[in-house]
Amino acid sequence: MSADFPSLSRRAHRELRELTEAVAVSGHEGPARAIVRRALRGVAARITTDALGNLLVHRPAQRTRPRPLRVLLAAHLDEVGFMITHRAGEGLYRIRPIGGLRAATALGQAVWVGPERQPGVIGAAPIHLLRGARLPTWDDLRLDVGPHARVELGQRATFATPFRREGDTIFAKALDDRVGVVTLLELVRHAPPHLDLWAAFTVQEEVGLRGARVAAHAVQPDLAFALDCTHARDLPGPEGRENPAFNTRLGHGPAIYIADRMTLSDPRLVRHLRATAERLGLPYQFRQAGGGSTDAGAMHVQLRGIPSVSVSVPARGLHTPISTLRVSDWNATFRLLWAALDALTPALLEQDL
Amino acid sequence: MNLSDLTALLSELSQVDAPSGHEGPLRAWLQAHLPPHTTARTDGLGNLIVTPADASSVEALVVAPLDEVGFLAQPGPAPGWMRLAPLGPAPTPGPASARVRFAGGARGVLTRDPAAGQAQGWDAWLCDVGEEPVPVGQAAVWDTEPVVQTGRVLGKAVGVRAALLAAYLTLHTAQPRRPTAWVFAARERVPGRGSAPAALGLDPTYALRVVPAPAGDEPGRRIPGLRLAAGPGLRRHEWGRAADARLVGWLTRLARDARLAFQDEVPREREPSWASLPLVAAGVSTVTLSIPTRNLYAAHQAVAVSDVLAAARWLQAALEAQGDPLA
Repeated sequence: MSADFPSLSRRAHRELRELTEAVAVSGHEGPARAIVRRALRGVAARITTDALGNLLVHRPAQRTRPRPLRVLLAAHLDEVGFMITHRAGEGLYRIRPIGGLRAATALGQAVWVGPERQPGVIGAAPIHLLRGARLPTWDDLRLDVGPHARVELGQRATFATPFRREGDTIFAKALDDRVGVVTLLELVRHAPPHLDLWAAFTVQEEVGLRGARVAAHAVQPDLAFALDCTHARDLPGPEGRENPAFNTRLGHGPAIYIADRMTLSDPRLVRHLRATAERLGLPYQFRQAGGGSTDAGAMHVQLRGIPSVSVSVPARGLHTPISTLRVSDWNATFRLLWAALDALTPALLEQDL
Repeated sequence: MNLSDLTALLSELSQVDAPSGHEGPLRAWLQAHLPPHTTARTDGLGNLIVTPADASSVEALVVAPLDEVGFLAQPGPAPGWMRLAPLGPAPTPGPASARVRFAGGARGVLTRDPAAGQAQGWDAWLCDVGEEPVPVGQAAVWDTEPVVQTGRVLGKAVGVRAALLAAYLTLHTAQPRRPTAWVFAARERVPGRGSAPAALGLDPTYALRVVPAPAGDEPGRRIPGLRLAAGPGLRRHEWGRAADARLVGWLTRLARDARLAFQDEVPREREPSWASLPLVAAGVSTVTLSIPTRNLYAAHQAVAVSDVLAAARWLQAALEAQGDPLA
């Protein structure tokens, strides 16, 4: 292992604040991309934006013989949100979700519209008028931006949630996956010199893992990691009963994926991550197998198959107006990933699957 | 190979555990039983790709599944109790119980969780592993010994192994007229679609798939489906995608010429690995043969050995046939 074992910098916390307060819904990731591009100034020799909008960053290995492992790290720039679809009166608009959002979650929420973050509200009726009412559908909701706002059809909006930190806890919107984006920024800054490292800040993950697919095809890596943020549904069951579907738990360290809806993680990479965590005494947890997916779902079936694994920071309340994570989990995620990359050698891929 | 040998081989293969993503033991078995003058390699997803030693290009693919449905150990509510997450479309045991075995050697008994109420699905089941240590994430399969009846084999994974066996036999028997590769595809029971990346690397013109398919021949079924011991199915339609009509017609003619029994199949359920091959690169013309399997993916499945032999003969006839199958 290299001499210095880095931790997340203060700059990382500032970047997370700035990124979570940006409006960068799938397909309109420009504001987040601009922040990342600015953050990488002077760090990477080559930064390109591909046709879909992925930001691809290359940190070549410091030695080229023997051929270094080419590693792709992916974190997605986009967040779930809304698209403005129809005018519905003076300052009123119909909206549709982009990505996995329930209409009931949007009810009564303040939102930011477009890159300029124009304020708006998704109105709700008072309880007096709602007796016996069913849950709302998207057709029931209206975005109210007032008569003088400059809003265009097709524009994106997100929940208007300012970033806040209280001790070990961060409250923010879009932690999925801005926390992965900042983790990736830090890994690029501290890139292990023996790896041919590519970072893909991907687009359109929330609407079908689209960016990662073309990024993996372009980079042609030997192996890939998806850095994401996954659900912690770790509240106790009713009457204190077991909650069998917790997915992950806050405060238990980074979540290593064994299987999700789209991917069976490469067992060699899972073993490597687990061994790295145990060697260094870092906390970790295995995410419960099952639903959900990450950019690994698209990357691992590209080309002739790319050994892939996902590692996520656990967070409560994803795809809602406000999510919660533990800074200690985030820091442990960064340290585990950095140490795992630092210890990567081509011998790993010679092991039996 | 006669039916008796085939029965023994199918029984043996059903006991080589290979849940999706953990196909190493079956890959090793195949590598140890390859015919001479072939080479095998494992790609990034775990597909085993077998070609003649002197092959420089590939025109035809024979694709069969390497993996079976299985489980991953998940944390449980108390020491000695795990939960299981299914790998692939494993059905819950229903009112009865069942046993699983883990990759590390431990065994567990499935028990319905009394706290689950009316809940369905795998969250409603507990796995009693006693004092056996089972790490979270370890893979497991149904723990079922094979049973041989007249003309058929009962057991876990016999559907997928029957498909694999049909392809494997042609490795030993067929003298292909065109450059051919055999792909024993990993992660096909989950949406990993192992065969598609393999095809991208090989760039074939067409592919012959062999898969298990649910039989629908129980008495009283309103719409009958595939029958056991009536020959392999020829898939006329893939879920959401048309089967290649040229290959379907070609295989139909070959079967009639060779007097091989077969059944037309139009699947009513989506297969986990459905239709991934035809979309690879510039497209791969694909046709699917299916082995009728009762209780497909359950702990106790049933396959007729004659269907396996017929599928192998049909594949062999296809590989040795003259003329362009896509003409």
